[in-house]
Amino acid sequence: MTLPLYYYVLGTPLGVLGLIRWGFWLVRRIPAVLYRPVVNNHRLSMSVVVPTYQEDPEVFATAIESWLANGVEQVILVIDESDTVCQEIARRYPVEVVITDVPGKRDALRKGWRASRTELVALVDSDTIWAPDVAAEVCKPFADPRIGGVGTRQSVYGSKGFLARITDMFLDHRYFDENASQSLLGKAVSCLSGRTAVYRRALLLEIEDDFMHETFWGVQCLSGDDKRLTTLILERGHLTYMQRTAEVWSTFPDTWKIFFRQRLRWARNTWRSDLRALSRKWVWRHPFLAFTMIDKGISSFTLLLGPIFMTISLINQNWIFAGVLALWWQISRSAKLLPHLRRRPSSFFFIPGYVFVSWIMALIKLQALLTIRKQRWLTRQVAVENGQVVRTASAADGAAPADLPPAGPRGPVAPVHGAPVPDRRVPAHAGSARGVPAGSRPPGRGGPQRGMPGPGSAGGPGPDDTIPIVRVSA
Amino acid sequence: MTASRTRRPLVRRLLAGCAIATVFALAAPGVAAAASADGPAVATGTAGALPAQPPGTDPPPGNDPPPATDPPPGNDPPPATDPPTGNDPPGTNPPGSTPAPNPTQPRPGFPGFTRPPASPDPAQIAREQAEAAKHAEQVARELAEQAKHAEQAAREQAEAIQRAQELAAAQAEQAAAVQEARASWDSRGRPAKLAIVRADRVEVITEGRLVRNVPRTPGAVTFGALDRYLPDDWITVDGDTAFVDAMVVLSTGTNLQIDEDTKTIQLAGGPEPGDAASIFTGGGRLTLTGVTITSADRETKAPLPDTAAGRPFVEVSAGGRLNATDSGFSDLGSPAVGAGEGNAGLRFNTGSTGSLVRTTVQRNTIGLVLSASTDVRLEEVTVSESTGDGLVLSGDRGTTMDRVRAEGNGGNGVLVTGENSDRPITGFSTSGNGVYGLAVVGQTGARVTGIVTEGDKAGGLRLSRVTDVVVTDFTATEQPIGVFTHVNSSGVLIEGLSTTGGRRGLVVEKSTHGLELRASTIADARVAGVAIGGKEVRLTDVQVADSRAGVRVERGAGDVQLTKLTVEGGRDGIVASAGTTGVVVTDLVANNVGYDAVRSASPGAQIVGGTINGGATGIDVAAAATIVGTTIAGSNEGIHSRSPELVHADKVQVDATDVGVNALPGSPFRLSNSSVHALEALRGVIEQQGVNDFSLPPLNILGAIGVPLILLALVLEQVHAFRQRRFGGTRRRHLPPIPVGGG
Repeated sequence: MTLPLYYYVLGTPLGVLGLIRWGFWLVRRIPAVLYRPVVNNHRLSMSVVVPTYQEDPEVFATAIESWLANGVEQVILVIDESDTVCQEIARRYPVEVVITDVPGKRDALRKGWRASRTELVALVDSDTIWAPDVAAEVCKPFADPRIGGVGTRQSVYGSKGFLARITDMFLDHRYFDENASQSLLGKAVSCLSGRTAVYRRALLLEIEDDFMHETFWGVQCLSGDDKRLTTLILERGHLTYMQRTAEVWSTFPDTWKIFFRQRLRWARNTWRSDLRALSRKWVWRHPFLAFTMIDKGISSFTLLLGPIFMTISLINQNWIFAGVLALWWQISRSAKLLPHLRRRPSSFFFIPGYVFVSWIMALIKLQALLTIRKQRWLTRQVAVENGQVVRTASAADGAAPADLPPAGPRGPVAPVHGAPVPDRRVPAHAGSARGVPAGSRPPGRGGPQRGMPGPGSAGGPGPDDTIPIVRVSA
Repeated sequence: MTASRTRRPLVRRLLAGCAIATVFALAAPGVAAAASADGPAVATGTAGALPAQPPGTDPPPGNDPPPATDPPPGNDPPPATDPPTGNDPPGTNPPGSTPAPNPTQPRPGFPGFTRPPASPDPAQIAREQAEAAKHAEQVARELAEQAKHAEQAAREQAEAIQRAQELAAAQAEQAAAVQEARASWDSRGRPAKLAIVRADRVEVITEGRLVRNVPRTPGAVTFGALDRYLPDDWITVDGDTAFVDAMVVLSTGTNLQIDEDTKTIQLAGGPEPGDAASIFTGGGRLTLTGVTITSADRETKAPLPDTAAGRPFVEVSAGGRLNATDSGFSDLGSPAVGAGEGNAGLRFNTGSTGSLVRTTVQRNTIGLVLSASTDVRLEEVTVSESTGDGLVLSGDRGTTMDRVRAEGNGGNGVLVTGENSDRPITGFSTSGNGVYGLAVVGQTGARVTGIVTEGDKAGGLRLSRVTDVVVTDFTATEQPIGVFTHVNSSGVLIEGLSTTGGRRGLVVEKSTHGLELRASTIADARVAGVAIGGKEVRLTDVQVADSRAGVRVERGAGDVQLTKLTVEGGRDGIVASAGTTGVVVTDLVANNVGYDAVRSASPGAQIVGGTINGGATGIDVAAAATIVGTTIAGSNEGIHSRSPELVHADKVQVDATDVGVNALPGSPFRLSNSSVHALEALRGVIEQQGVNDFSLPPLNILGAIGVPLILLALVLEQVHAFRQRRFGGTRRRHLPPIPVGGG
């Protein structure tokens, strides 16, 4: 044993880094293990607000029925005026429809909660399908009056492809690790996902101005509505909680292009929100939340050291080191993903892919940091130009500014084609309608699927060259 | 020199002979008396018409004998044969003297006198006899008087001869003095103005002509006194600054003392060598206390540039002495012009002696030269900013140096050259000199001890053409080369060398044979701690730290033995190039060397024993080598072979992190009786002999931590599952069915 002491103590630099990362993971994992969902019989009235735009009819119908099956008091669909297919589907169910011509999800959400008449408002994406007891489960944490918002557990709906599997792993890692630990330590979940997030309506009305006029470095923010709502709730001293027994399913991209764009948009939102939060006092009242924000930022850089070491070892033909490193990644990531592997053991074979996508996401995070001021939805024809939310379209779209109507008036409900009308409700059991012709469906699930980015543009995501079509404002 | 000495008695004899002949020709005591008149105390006149030497003066001192040159033109010797004016022609009697009787004329009563016959008359006869007797008495009286006159004339003649002799001797001495002054003037570069201080007089020489001869009281001469002896414009005193516009030469037995009343002496100079108002001690003594001697332009009084051929200097001549305390010599010395060598600012010549104490020598051409001087003492002397070398020791003997500094000189700080000497080379430090701090050239048996050098442009110590030189306790800081040996140097022993920074600590150039470096420390060399190009080089107990390469054995080197070498940090430990022979590394200790602890392309290199810790590669061999009993620990790669010839490792112990022994394709490797522990113990084709032990490296603590981490993750998941079951969190919800007609 003549090796120097440091070899025995620290090993390689990568080993030191790994030790640190494991330490951070344990800090999150131990409280996550101790997390438990809230169990009680607390129940409040709830409405579901759904911004809708070119949703897959099959998914949309399934989602509507799932919401109605939860027995919520209101289902409010804020549908873009151009989306006749979704309007047609909505017409079959006992839901309230708000037609809007204002691009942007934030305005649609505001229209929705203004139209709501319940204590709780569930902001839901149009492709999110609820389990039958979601409404009951999400009400339980609200027994604590300090709770201002509650999130759910998400799973991937529909796809069985590679990206779906990887996304499923990331989602489980999020809800069994990060969100669980944040819920236990301080009840301050950093982001209640926009797929389904339940807030007290009174709080939404209180924060809607800040929500609608969010800017970052002088530029109005377009995406990141869910992160913004969560932050505003926390900033005002309320708490957020993840109720993991409330399970929802949602669609996710199954093409790399959409995946990259979606992740880039999310990464920008996260950088913007976390950097701003860390510069404010309120976040330091939730130390664990601040810790997770910092940890997430640092990991964007440290995650890339692994592939660098691997590349060097491969160049030097140090096969044994490379093999050991790969083996260690397989084992260690599996250990960290045990909650997911317990549910889907076959994901063990997707671990290398998971590691690879992690590197890709680290690169995306770095790119997002370098382009943090850009405001593009990327998967929708909407963007912020000159400080305002506008629709964007490629030249091939053929949409002309003059073809679109002017912005509608502001108000609790601002339909262009009429206020929410009870007569447009259809019974929940009337879900058997199949009247939507296949040809009228929007592009597949890999295209624009969720949210309410803006009406008027057909087809999938366009190129970056944007054409301001009409000025609309919230 | 010998010719001039033999000529002087001859001249004297010739002149004396001429004088005697003249006196005899004149035969006039009055003339001789006129010619022997003493001259005035101060006499003026041109050469050839010199005033008479004061009586009783010694002959001119022989310390500055005139060279064997022709007499100077227009300076004829005094005419020793000129007749004194007013003398009578030879043969004349002195005035007033009685004429001597004519010896050829017969006189009465004397033999040959004939008397006529007469009658006998007794009275007559008596009267006649009485007259005869009276006449005889008168004659006798006359004869006695004549004899007396003759005696007086003879005496006066003898006195005249003596006076003539004395005059001739004096004139001879005058001529000799003129010639001597002329010779001195010639030998000192024919200065326009020359003052020779002699024991009893001061000679004033202008343009080579002795124009004044000022007697003085024997004893020490002060500067004020010297000013009074010389013409007014030769020395100008302004406050405590004196401007000297004449070359000053001291002669044997003189002592010129300059104390603090005169703080600065400006020696005049100019563009021509004859302009220099230098100081020569001759055989005399120059004593300075608190005085700065510098050069000055006649017009501006500014120090002269080092390019001026007529810049003055101070020279301690043979037999002379210079004692300077708290003094300075600045802006002195003249550059080499044509075939001339130029003049150092201050120079001790053969047989000279003296001391410099707390004295600065600044901005001279060459600062200070000790050339075959004797027992010169240098104490707290600073030699700086010289154009060339600072201090030159050339065949000096008995020199003692203490706290001498050579700084910022254009050449070497200290140059030791010329005839071998047994004086130790010690007691000084160098910094910022233009070439080397110390250069020892062409010396045998020199001893260099306790020298401290820093920041010299070329290096700390240069040994050139030296034999059997011993260097001990030499320190070099931030030197391009700490010690450089070259040009057939041999038998060099260096012990206690300490170098820090710079490019190379020790460079043994290829023509060096026989060098040993012992017990030395070399740190932070940017290229190599030791660069060996010579033969028969030994390194023993040498430590090299944080150098790019610890030891480089360059092409052409041979018989290199590195024993107990310690290399700490740095890029490479030992690098032996191809084209070297006889490289033997014994008991090497290499700790945390960045790349290769040993990289050898030297055929037949032997690596025996030793310990290598850390680094990228323990031993990298590109030629046949034998490795015996070496321990390598913590290197990424233990032994790396790319040699086309056999490399044999025996009884080695390797604990590497990546590869233990890596033999590239085409590199035969034999491993025997060894222990190799590494992630990959052996790579390549390796012939094994004896009992070898191969294994993976020990599981490090991180690895030991990794396994518990995995186990901890499993335990945490079990806890999690248990808690989920307890709180109903494990119940999975099922995805609602797609409604009929939902699409």
